[in-house]
Amino acid sequence: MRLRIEVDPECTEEVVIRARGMNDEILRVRNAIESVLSDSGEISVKKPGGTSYIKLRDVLFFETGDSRVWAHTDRECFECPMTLSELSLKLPVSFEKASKSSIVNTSLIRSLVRSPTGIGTASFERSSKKVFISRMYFKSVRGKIEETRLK
Amino acid sequence: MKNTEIKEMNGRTRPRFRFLFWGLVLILTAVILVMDGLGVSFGSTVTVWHIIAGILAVAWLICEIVKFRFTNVFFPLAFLFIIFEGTIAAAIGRPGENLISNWIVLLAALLLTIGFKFIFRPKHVVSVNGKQYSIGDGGKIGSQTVYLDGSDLSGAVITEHLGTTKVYISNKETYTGGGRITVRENLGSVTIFVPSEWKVVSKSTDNLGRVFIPARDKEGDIPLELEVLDNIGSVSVVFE
Repeated sequence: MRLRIEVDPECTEEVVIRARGMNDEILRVRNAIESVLSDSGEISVKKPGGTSYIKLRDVLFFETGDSRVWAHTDRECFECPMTLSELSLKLPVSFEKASKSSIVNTSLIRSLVRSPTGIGTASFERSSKKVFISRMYFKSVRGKIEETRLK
Repeated sequence: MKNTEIKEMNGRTRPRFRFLFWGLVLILTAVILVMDGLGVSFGSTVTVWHIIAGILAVAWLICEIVKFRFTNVFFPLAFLFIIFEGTIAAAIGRPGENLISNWIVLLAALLLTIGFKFIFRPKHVVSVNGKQYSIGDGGKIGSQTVYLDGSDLSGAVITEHLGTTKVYISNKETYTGGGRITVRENLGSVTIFVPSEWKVVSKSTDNLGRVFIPARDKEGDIPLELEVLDNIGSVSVVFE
């Protein structure tokens, strides 16, 4: 695959991948680009004084609780003004649905453990927080991790 | 909110009454044993061991009834029937007969217990300051996540019954101390995530359960009282 960068000071910046079809290599390139783009992404959260912004790369998972959506970082939790379905449309590909009530950042998962009943538990780097992964979504979460990391 | 208010609000038996009850049961058993040793007769069909087993079965039955666990009454009733089967047979005019096989009685008790448990299934209940939380699956049945506001931590009462509950605290920077979290728990697991800058002061009246607060080299400065009124379950604090 050739890599070409066109420098034009007046253009709108975009990344285009031109391919004959989707294959593993294209997927990895797409994921790599997505992860770079998401590194710079931020999301608004509610704070006592108003609205604040946190980096998406710091968010471990989003979870519903008490009819609200919460964004969890390694040490904090913030109320998020969006619904889970809105988030699932807007979040980068590294975020994957983990259950009916949570979306997990697969790039920060340190370990995945599955119980004999099929329910998974994901733990994270630099945090003691854990998130349950229901049977229905376990395969897709593990697939996303395998897709984006070297075996 | 004071301890007594919380206990009365939830309508549960206090630990000291439980100890009193079981203390009386054991004393009564000892008295029966001594009376038997002194040669006091309890009737032709009833031995001292029948009476002791009967007292324990009745105590078990009372425990289940006062805790409103009516689906659990069939086993103590079955044991009472087995223990006093001879007396019952004599009372209905069929002395010396084995009315029902013991295995059939126990199997019937098992089926009744399972059947009633299916119909009246215990629910995973979590409430904070009396407000009932809807049961979300949280990725796992019986799992619930509760969020407390750091700006209002004075007297948060979390009532948990069965299942797993995670408690997170939002707006931590607004908390300056003086807060208290009370966890009333029965047969479940509660994990509370607390900032490492805080110091958790445990005031637990815990029976048979487990309250785990990890030891640290350096305690935090901002105090938070944690009161656990726990029956059988576990409450863990995780410092973030």
